Amino acid sequence: MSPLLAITIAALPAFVASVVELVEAFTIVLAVGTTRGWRAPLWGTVAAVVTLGLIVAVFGAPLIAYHEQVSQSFHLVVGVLLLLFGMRWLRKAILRFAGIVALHDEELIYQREVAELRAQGQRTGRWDNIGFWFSYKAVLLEGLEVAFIVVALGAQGGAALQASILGAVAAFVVTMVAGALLRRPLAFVPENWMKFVVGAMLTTFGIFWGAEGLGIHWPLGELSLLLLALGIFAVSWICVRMLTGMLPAGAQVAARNI
Amino acid sequence: MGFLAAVWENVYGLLVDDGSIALGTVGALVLVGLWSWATAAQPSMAELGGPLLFVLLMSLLLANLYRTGQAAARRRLDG
Repeated sequence: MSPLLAITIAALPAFVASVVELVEAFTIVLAVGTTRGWRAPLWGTVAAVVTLGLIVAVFGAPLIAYHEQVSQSFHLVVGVLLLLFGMRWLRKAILRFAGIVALHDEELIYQREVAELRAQGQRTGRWDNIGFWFSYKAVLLEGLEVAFIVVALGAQGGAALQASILGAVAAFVVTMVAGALLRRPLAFVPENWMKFVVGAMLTTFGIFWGAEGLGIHWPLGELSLLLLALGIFAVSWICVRMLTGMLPAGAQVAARNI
Repeated sequence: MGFLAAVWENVYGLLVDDGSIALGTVGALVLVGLWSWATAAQPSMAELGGPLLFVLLMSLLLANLYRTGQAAARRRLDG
């Protein structure tokens, strides 16, 4: 696999998807840090990142070791997983664009988390268990999606796995640096657009590899990926127009909740 | 237990948000698998399996969103 192809099909979607998930995790860690102090939530974050690294290593290493032997089966399994994941993100992003589902609001989530943490009371000792576990759970649960995407996109072989890991690590660095500089929820990140683009990309790869896993040959080879992506964007646009037209006038979701 | 349940919910939720989309996706793959098997002797027909998978999945998405849109419109009118 050429470096450019690895970046296009693995690093880029892994980076964009990871930013979306890490922004959500950052909001919760920020709420814990500002409410209860930074030591425990930072250790919670480190512990969760180590756990996620182990998950990627456990599931990613066999992908590299046995890739050649079971290439076609891998294509099918990865295709199915990418399709399930991609169609889910695509559907949700379209519903949000159409105003049927409310947009994700990091500011509101931050306020809610702060209120919940204050309700837990003040910390009693030097070590804050609540702060640690709150951050650990948030980073681990949001990071599971990142780990899943990294492993699925990396399933095409060693170069792809390296590229997808690099994409996720770059997203982690960018999100943490932006968060540390701004010290507020990263609400300006266009999450729905990013989710839509990643959903479309994962669906594109899912269709391509799913069909290959079923033994189907694409006559145009990798150029088919571009045509599939264009087709998915076109259908998504039609879906948004259709849904917008179906809702009564003025009935789009106004409240920005979850 | 609560934490493990949350992990399971999250892993399940990664793949399944709307059950009909998940089932439909698997169904489309099964159909295309059957197509591939049935047309194995005719390569020009077998090559249509990929475009067929695209059409099936996009139809599934369109139909699912149409149904969701109808339900949302009904709820807004009732509310």
